[in-house]
Formats: sequence, C-alpha cells, structure tokens
Amino acid sequence: MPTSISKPSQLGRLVTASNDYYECLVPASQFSIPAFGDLVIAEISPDYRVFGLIGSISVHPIDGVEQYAIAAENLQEDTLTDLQNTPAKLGVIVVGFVDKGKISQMVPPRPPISLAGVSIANPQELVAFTENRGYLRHVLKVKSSTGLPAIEILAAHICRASEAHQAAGNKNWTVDAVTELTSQLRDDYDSLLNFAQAISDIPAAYFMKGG
Amino acid sequence: MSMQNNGIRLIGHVTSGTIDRISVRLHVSPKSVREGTFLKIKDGEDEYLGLLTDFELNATNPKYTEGFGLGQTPDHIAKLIKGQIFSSNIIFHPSLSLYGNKVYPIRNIPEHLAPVYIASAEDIRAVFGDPSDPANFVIGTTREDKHPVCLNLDKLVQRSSGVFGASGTGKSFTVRMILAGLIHYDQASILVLDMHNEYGLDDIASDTGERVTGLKTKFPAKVRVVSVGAGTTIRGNTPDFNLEIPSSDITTGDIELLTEELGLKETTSTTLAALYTEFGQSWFKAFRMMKVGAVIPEDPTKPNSRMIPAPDSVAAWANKAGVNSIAAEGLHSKMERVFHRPYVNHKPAVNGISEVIKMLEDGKHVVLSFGDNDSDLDYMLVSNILTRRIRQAWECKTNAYRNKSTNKTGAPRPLTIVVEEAHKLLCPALANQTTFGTIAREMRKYFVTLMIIDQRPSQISSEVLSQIGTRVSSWLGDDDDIQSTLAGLPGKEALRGMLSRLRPKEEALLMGWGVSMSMPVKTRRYDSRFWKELLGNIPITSGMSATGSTPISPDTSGTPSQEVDNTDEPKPSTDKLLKGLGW
Repeated sequence: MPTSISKPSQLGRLVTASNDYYECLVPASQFSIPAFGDLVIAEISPDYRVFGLIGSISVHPIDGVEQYAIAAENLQEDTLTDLQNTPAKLGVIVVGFVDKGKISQMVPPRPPISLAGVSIANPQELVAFTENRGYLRHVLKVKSSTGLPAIEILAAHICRASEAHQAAGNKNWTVDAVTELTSQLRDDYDSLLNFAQAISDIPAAYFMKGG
Repeated sequence: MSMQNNGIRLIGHVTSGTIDRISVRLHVSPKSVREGTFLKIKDGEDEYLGLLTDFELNATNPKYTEGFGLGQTPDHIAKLIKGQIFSSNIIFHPSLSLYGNKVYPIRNIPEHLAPVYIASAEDIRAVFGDPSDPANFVIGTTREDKHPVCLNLDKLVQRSSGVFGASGTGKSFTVRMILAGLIHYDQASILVLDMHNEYGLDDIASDTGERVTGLKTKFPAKVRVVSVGAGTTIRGNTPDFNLEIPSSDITTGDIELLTEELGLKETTSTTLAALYTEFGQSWFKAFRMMKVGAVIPEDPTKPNSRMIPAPDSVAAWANKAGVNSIAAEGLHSKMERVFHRPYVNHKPAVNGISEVIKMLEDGKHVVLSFGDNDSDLDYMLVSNILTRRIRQAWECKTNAYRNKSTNKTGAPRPLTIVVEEAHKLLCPALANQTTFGTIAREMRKYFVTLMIIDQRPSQISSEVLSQIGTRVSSWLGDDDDIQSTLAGLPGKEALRGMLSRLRPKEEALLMGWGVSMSMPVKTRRYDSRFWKELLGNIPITSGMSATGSTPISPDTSGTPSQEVDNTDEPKPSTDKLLKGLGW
C-alpha cells in the first residue's frame, strides 16, 4: 500500500487558482471537516502560506452512467460506497498571506501553486490572521465577480471567528467586525438587511462588553 | 477608543464647517450633551472654544429613516447597525481661540477630524477668569460639570449692563447676588432704585415663602437704606433716613416726563415754559399755590358786577403770561397728583438728594426704597430728579479731575445706578428725555453706568440697549424681548434659541462686553451658602465630582463600538501569536 504524502491536518489539494480565488478538491473522507466561511490555509512553502475563506462547497455531479447504476435494482453496497467517495470541491476566496512570519491582508503576489496542500486554520491561526479586519473587504468585492454569496460567507465566518476570539479573550472582536462590515454595507440597503438577519445566530453574549 | 483625554471628555470629531458653524460627528449619545455646552476643539497647538448650538440627526440613506427592516433582528444587533446607518451631529459655534492660555478672537477653523471635547475647568478659567481673583465674581457654574463661571466686576461697571428675564425667572435673585458681589468687592458705589422694596432689607420670597436676606443685613456698614417720603417705613422697618425732595429741584422737564402718566396735552410744554420763565426754580411751588376757578367781582362795590379771575388764580396768571387759561387750569388739575406727593416739600429739613450724593461719594451704597410711594409716577419722578443731580455731581467731579490745573484728587469713584422696571424710564418715548438715557449713552466717560433690570427689554429704547455692555438674561419667551436682549451681539441667531430654552429658573445666559464669550450658566443660589462663600472668601472650586458631573453615555446611535469599549481588557498581541505559531 503506498504511503500518504498528506499531512494529518490536510484537508485537500488545490486544483485551480488565481490571485484572488482558488479551488481545491477534498477527499470524501474529509468531507465533514470544512465548513462554509472557514479560514483555510494553502501552504506553498513552510514560510509562505495563502489564507482564504471557504465561499462554496460542492460535490461532484453524478453523471448519466452513475445515475443508471444507482437506479439499478441490484445496487451493490460497494458501488454505492464508490459513488459516495466522490471528492468535494471547495471554492476559496483569497484574503491574505503570511510570508516569513509577516501577515498581510493584501492579495498575494502570486497565486498558490497547483496541488498545494490546503488545511483548516486552527484557532490560534484564525485569531492571529483575523485580529485586523481589513481582509473582510476581499469577501465583499467577490460578490460581483463570482456570484458567491458574500453576505452569507461573511455571516458564517464571523460566527466561527467570534468563537475563537472570545476564547482568546478578544471580547470586542465581534462588535468591531460587525461594525466594520455595517459601515461598508450601509450604502447597500438590501445587503445590510440580509447581513443583519444572517448574523442573528451569533450569541448575544459576544456583543456585550466582556463577552 | 477612550472617551477621556487627560480628564477632559472626547465627544466627537470635526466633519465640516465654516467659521460660524462647525459640524461635529458625535461619538456619544446626543442625549449626553445639551445646547449651550461649552466645547473645545483641539487641533495640535490650536484650541477653539465655543458653544454647542444645534443638533442634527442624519441617516446614510433616506431609506433607513422610513424604517430599517430590523424587526426580525435581535435588539443587540439592530442597535449596533443603527449606530452605523444613523449619525448624530452637533453644531459648534466657535467663539474664541486659545493659544498658550490666552484667548483670541476666532480667525480660522480647525482641520477635518480634529477631536472635540467638553471644555475643562481650566478652559473655563482661561476664558472667564480665575474665581480666586477678587475682581471675578462667580455668578454660576457650567450646566454640565459645575465649573465656576465668573463675571469680571471691573468690566461689569465700566459700561452699562442689563439683567433681563421674564417674571418669576429669578431675576431679582441674580441681581441681589451681583450687587452683593459688587458691594463686597467695593470698587464702585451702587445706587439701587428699588421700586418694589426688594433689595435693602430682608424680605420673604413670593414663590417659596422663604426668608430672603437683604443687602443691608449683610453689609450694615456699607449699605444705607433710604426711604422715599417723610416718616415712611419699609414693611414696618425704619430706614436709615427718609428722602424728601425740595420742590425747587423739580424741573418742568420732570413733569413733561410724566406726560403719559398724567395724561398731559400738547399745550403742556408752552404752559410749563411760561411758568419757568416767570418763576424760575420756584415755578413748582408758585404753580401749586395758584387756585383753579377762583374768581372775584370785577367791581366789588357793585352787586351784579362781572366775575373775573382772582389774582391768585391760574387763569389770572395765564392771562397775564399770555397762555391759554383753560390749558393752564387743565395742567394744574392734572398736576394735583404731583403737588400732593408726600415726599415733595417746599423746605425740607435736610436736602435729601444731596445727602444721597454725599453717601455715594463717600463710598457707601444706597438702596432707595419707594416704600408705599411706589406708583409709576413716584418712581419716574423721584428717579429722574435724583439721577439728574447725580449726573451733575459726577460730571463736575470728572471735569475737575480732568482739568490738570485744578486736579488735586483722584478720579471720581465709579457709580452704578441700578434701575428696576427700566422700560418705564427708558422706553423710546422717554429715553431722550430722562437722565437715564443720557447716562446710558454718555456717562461712561464720567464714571457713571446703569444696570438696567427688566422683564420686557423690547420696551426699552434700542439706542439705549445698544449701549448695554454686559447682559445677563434668564428665560425669555417673547420673540421681541429675545431680539432686543441679543441686539448687537455676534452669533445672535444661535443664542436666540438658547435663550428661549433656558430653564425657567436658576439658569441664565451671560453675554456681551463683560464676558469673553456668551455662555449659559446655572446661576448660584442666593442662600446661606452663597453668603458664607462670599463673605468668608471661601474659594469656589469646580463642582465636578466623581458622581457630580453629567455622565456622557456612549452614542447608541452613532458609534456603538463605544458601548463595548473595553480597552482595559488584555488582548493577545499578534507578534506573540505569530511567535507561538512558528511563522
């Protein structure tokens, strides 16, 4: 049996990329790990990593032959398992990078390379990267170019990042992030209304001084 | 963001403006500040001082004002979002700039985003003076932080001043306090024309029923209470002496002043002129002695002789003087009210007017109470006669002082004449006839100024009002009165609203020459504490305490991040995190 070259925390591998967006394939075994709005890291080298937010998760479409097989009366367990092992594809919005220990929330100078390993940022990495909130602008601007649901991505991301910041003692992070996004969205009535409703699930305690 | 900066409170930042009107985006709730709050903009070394004169509520999009669909959103989120889509602005009216603790007129404006603070006690002191200086009388405090606000008494008496306010707004208490300050400071003599017997002796407040201390009670050696009329008392108290006016001191002009009061006709001037021509200074006594309607037979020896005016009659004098006898008789009838005033005496034991003048020259302060003789006629007649004599005396003294060859003494002691119900003497019809009009216009050079007290400043001649330096006004409701009070002041449109929105009691607006900038204050209370502080020379410090100041609450509509500001909370530094991550 061949030895896996993936790191234990690796989610999948990058298959296509541009400066501000990339896609990666996630094996079926990892499918339950990524979540919409998560911060992920594409490791180009030990010193150079590209950060992104998961903006879409899709599964491979079942083609005609596969549909025929599924519809067969004598569908085998093995066949079903094979079909379920179809990898998922993540669409990731690039929001910054870290180069030799220095975090930048600009678009990286080069897109991540193909087959780079992609992993979910751990809470420490999440807190470190999102402490400054300039990266949120990357999500807002993708709305027009890719059709990704920017408001939903942001709401999901803030919900998850809030937990990490609360745990790290950054009691104001949620309020500051919501304030910043509201400020950027205030000229867009419909988006702001959507955003307000989308973040309703964030616990009220995160909006209070002291958490 | 901290709202405190070296003890002064940050409330917003400059967004736009002109030299008269600077717009400030609030960081705090608009409910935390109020119209008239004394503010400071700090832009580098330059500081700009002025008042909050207006509020503006704005929305980033008009749609939001029609109801932002936050009904389904939790309150804490809705509140946060409202803070971004709505903003609260205030209008700052710059009055002075402060550089190196010295104040200068405004000549430029601060840059965008300059921070705006509630002014500190030091700022108030820089503008209104140090309360520990005896020349600075603390008239009240700022309404927010209770910092003492002073009137400079030297400046106050250098030009005429005015205390205005609608009835029941505490005008008399304000005047009592200012007078107490002036008497205590003692750099000018004060003559109070006390029409309603309020200032000299202790009284009972009409609204609270509490005892009100009179000036004589606290300054027995400095204040003389004089009552108008022989033997008159003031609420049963005997005055220091009674004022009787020699009839020879009454001029024809004094009577013309009473034209409206007595219902005199156009012919009066001619008749009075004829009387003065014939009798000189004794005209009043001579006219009073004449009889109206007295006739005698032309030929006493004939039983049916024609009746002619008696030699001591008004008609006989009129015929002889060539004036209309009916007009003369009419004038005599109308002057009956004056002839029989109890304080008019052809030969009083002492010349009361001269006595009053001597007291004032000697540095005493005189409260002239009208006692029972407090009709408009009494007030106008006595005040005008007394003031005319005072004016003559001070002009004489000043001319002597200025004449180098005869100058053997110092300048005359400054004198301030306090005139209650000033509109009775300074209305447009009379201002040119009374001595008060002359004093208001010209007597500053002769060391005499007026302090006019009135509830209807609109009834006072505009020419007189234009001469009023320092103005202290309590609440006024009438537009015309407000307009008159603010006449000639810069930024009067902003002050107009402020004046009409003062609290009905214990608040006043300071304006004009005696103060560096207009300022609403909470006036001091005229009570035992006031006297203790004044006479005990107890320094009045800022009333601000940990719990005493008006709390500034965060802007729940402007920048909600203030509400959850926890700058004291420890935050993990990025550097530390990166080190931990091995990046």
